[in-house]
Amino acid sequence: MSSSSAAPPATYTTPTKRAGFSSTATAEAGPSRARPAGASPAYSSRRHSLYGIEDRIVIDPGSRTWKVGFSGEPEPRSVFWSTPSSGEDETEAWSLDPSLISSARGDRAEGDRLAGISVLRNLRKAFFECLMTDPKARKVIVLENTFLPRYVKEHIAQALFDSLKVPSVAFTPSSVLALAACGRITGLVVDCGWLETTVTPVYHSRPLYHLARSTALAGRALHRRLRRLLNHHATYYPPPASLGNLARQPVKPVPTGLLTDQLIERILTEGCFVGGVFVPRADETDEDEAMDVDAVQEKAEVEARREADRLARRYADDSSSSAKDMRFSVTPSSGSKAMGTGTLVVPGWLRERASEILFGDAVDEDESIPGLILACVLKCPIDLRAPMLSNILVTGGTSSLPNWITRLRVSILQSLLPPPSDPSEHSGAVPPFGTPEARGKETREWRRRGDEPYKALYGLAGKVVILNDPAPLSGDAQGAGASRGGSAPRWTTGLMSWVGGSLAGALKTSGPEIMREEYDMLVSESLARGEVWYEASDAALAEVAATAGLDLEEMRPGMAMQGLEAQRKRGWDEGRVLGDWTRATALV
Amino acid sequence: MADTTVLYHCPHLDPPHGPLPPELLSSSASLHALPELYFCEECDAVRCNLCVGVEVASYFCPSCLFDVPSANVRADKNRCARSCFSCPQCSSSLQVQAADPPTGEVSSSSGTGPFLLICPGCKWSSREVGWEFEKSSGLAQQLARVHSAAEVVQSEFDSLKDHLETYLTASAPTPAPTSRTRHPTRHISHLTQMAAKALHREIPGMAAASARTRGGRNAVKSAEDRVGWDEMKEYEAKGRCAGLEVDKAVELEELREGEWAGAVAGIEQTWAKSWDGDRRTKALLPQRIPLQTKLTKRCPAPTCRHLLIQPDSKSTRMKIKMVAANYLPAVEIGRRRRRIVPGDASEVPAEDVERRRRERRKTRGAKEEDEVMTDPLRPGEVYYFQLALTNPLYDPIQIRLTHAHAKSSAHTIQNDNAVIHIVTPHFTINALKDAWAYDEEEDEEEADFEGTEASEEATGSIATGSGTGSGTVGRKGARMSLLAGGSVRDNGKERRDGVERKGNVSKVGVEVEVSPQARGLIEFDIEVRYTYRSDEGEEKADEDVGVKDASGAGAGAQGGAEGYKTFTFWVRVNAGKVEPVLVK
Repeated sequence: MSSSSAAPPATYTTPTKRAGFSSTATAEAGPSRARPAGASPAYSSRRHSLYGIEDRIVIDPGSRTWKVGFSGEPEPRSVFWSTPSSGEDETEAWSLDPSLISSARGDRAEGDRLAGISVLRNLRKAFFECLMTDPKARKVIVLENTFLPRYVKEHIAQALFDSLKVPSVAFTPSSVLALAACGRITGLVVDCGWLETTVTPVYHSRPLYHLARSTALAGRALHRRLRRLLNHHATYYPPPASLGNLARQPVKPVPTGLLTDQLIERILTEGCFVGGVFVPRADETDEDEAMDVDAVQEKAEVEARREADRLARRYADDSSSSAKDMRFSVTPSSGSKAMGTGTLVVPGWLRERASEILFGDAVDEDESIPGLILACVLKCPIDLRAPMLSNILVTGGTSSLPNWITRLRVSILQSLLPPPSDPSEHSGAVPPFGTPEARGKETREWRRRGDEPYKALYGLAGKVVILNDPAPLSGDAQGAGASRGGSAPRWTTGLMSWVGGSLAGALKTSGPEIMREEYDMLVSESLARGEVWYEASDAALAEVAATAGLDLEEMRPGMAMQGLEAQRKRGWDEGRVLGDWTRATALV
Repeated sequence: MADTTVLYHCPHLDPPHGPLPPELLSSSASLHALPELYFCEECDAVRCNLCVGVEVASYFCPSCLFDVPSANVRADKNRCARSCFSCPQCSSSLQVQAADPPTGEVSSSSGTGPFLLICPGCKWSSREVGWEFEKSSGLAQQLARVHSAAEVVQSEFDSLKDHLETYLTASAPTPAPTSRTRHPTRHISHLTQMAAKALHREIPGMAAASARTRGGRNAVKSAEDRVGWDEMKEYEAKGRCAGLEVDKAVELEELREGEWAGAVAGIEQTWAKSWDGDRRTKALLPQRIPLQTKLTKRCPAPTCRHLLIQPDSKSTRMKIKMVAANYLPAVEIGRRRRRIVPGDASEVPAEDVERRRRERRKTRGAKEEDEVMTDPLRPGEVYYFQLALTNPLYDPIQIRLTHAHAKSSAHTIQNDNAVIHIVTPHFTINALKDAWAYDEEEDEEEADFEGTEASEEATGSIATGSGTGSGTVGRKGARMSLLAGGSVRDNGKERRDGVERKGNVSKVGVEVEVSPQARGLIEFDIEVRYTYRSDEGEEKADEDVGVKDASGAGAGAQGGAEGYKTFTFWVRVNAGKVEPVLVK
């Protein structure tokens, strides 16, 4: 940290071709006058150059969609899927762990390769098909998500430097950029994307990574929930088989082959929205009906069925949802001989309540998104809690569902509401210490503490403000903070970070830059280290073989390693060139 | 439904090696169809689209075919700046029409304005979004003058930029003169400066304390001034989110009532719009048509960088075209036959693959049934395929087929799904000639290695548009003679040692024994090594290659003696999909 703060303000971060510029310019400016960084008229004018190289390329890589464009433009040039959709399964370019990528089948090395390939493909596509520009001429800003896996980051750097030969890459925290797109540098960024929802507190343009939190409740979980519900509770009318027989019999459950990834995405975009806070009925029973488990049916399938039925019991009635059913025309899979398109009828409650999974209805122990936000705020230092709660910024594609942000605010406020207090607690005097009454009261208080995890934040309920809330509470209901709700510019949540990246590029600022020469040097150093290590281990292997008196060919697997273990103190990993996010914090 | 394919492996920049086994999906990224591959003569290596260096040679509009100068492309946002628009509903190209063709008049295109954009596919008209034009040309420019939606976004963006810039310049610290020289090359961002400033700022409590010790109101006041000096001023957005309140409420209500069924634009149509607005299809505007490019491609090897593809900007031809199809034999798979087993087949124990094969060979030719290639394969059956290899060179070549992942025997591939046996691993393919050259040779017994005179004639007469630039020395660019080509006659066939030769095509058999528990695709990798005569050794052309290759089996023995060279490549053969027989 000290080194970077003491470092010179050679901040023009000019393209390499202008390397000589900064020194001459400052010399002309004279020793007394400090040159304001980036304030040269040549730099700050709005359209400084028609096809100059100072515009950077801003890439927001996602596991699901990629957004690419030039800095200084308010919209990305292109947005595309990160993997070609393969029908039934959800597709993503990478997962949080390489072994979790579906087609890797648990193999880490294979998952790593797969992620590397899709990163390379997408980057080449971005440069040659979307931007149509020469990658060698322009610097690149890559938006780095809070929990972007390291292996993905390394693949991105490798593809950019080795295959595309870009002059420099700057990994820049997307949370800071999202705030910058709203003209701020402090706030709590809630990013609801595909793989995970992350909550990152940012203070004075510094993301506080050690306080950041994430959950898997995001686009993918929502997709899975919606698919399951559609499978069991939507109705499918296949197209008539022939002109002679126009009768269309409803099919239930909907065949899984029909529910392609694209169809789910379509239903989600065109038909789904987020309802108000769900109040469970008092008489709701969570008992499972006794079901005949058919021997043929797999257990998972039974589970799915049971889960879908539970949700239907929960939500499918008028008190929960007043939304009307919606029809979607569906093209049947290519194999069928039927004519025309089929119709999928999606019940209204499903459209409204599928997203409940994000707001505290997950099957497993996942924390809901409002809970996650509050837990994150609880972890913050006490003087940061108020600024964080009153500067919540929601980004990420999944949160663009209608009413998502408003629902989030209502849910947060609901969690911050003290429960209706028991009148018996307040009545009467404090029982004398040591008596059974006093002990009983203490126990009750302890129990209640578990029920009210956010008690410490109750006082801050009036401060909760979501910056891009489309429908903030009006009037004085929430005090002074309320007027700031919805004060952010009207960027769509999915592109907010990208817009921030574009702004940063236009202002010639970004995260720490890695130059190509620097990267090449790091890689060659790492390789040299690897060579040394391999040599050492080979030598050790030979030595062990010699001491064991065995020929290497005769040794059984593992025999040589027994002797080696003591000497192998430090392994070597091929990829470790880029710092991970913890190190990046210190540098920014 | 599964198509049978043969894909070629590109090792990218690594030294030649086989692909990863087909069980690993990541291997498919380095496998491409032959027409998609390039060949670098200097490196003597296959190159693919994932590894070649790409430069844009020229830009053009796919709709009006106008060549856009590269200086304009950036400002036009990579889209056609003339009159080409795509339909917001069906994305087909829009046509310009006069708005009200006067009745009785012949042509509407010559009419006087106003003009509209009409979709020939779905009859969408730009009147729906209120677009009318005075002139029928240069619509994009006319639109830029009138249309202001983009201005809102741009002005918000610019004011944000100004806001942040003010902060950045105000908070930028004055440079310490000594530190300049210490790290002269280090580029530090403004974010770093911001952070540094934030760290150096005085802690409020401390400042107050120091002020108190000094006493006096002024000190306190200055301390108060200093607190928050690096705070950012509140940004007043021009278009606030809160301004959408009514729109969003209406949207939610209408969505709830189902009024928006079929009216919402797909995610791909709206996801590149950064300004939140109406999501409905009717709010979509026609987009200018994106430009397309002609690309120049280079060999990616750092020491090579030779051009592989260079397009001609004036025509559809290529100035340089180094495609792999001119260098590597084309491998195709076809003619599937299923072995009919008389009686019970399960007598031989399943473990002994080799024995089963010998058993089969004894009764070979007994019963085989031709099948359609597209039908699914059945588990537990034995199939015979034909691999057809077509020689693109003007010299005869010698082929050796082996298993790419040499686990067991070199000619038997065994994986979870199937046992594949290459029946004829060594054979030759005749040289590529003109069709009439084959005619003349019809009576000759041997389409042989000695037939150099014929092939040299052919070299002179075939001149395709390919490979005329860049020192094409050795094997000239050549034309493929297609398997399905009508010019090849049946009487040109000859069959010897299980090899069926016809022109420059040789066909060999492959035996695929699908295992009973197989599912999914039957894929296997074959290493193909071919020996050709290089130019340097032309005088020794009458040497018998077959003997030599059989003796020297060392892999990767490049440039063997006597002017013959070998090249090794790998193909992945997809023989079809296994689907279990439905038991009824």
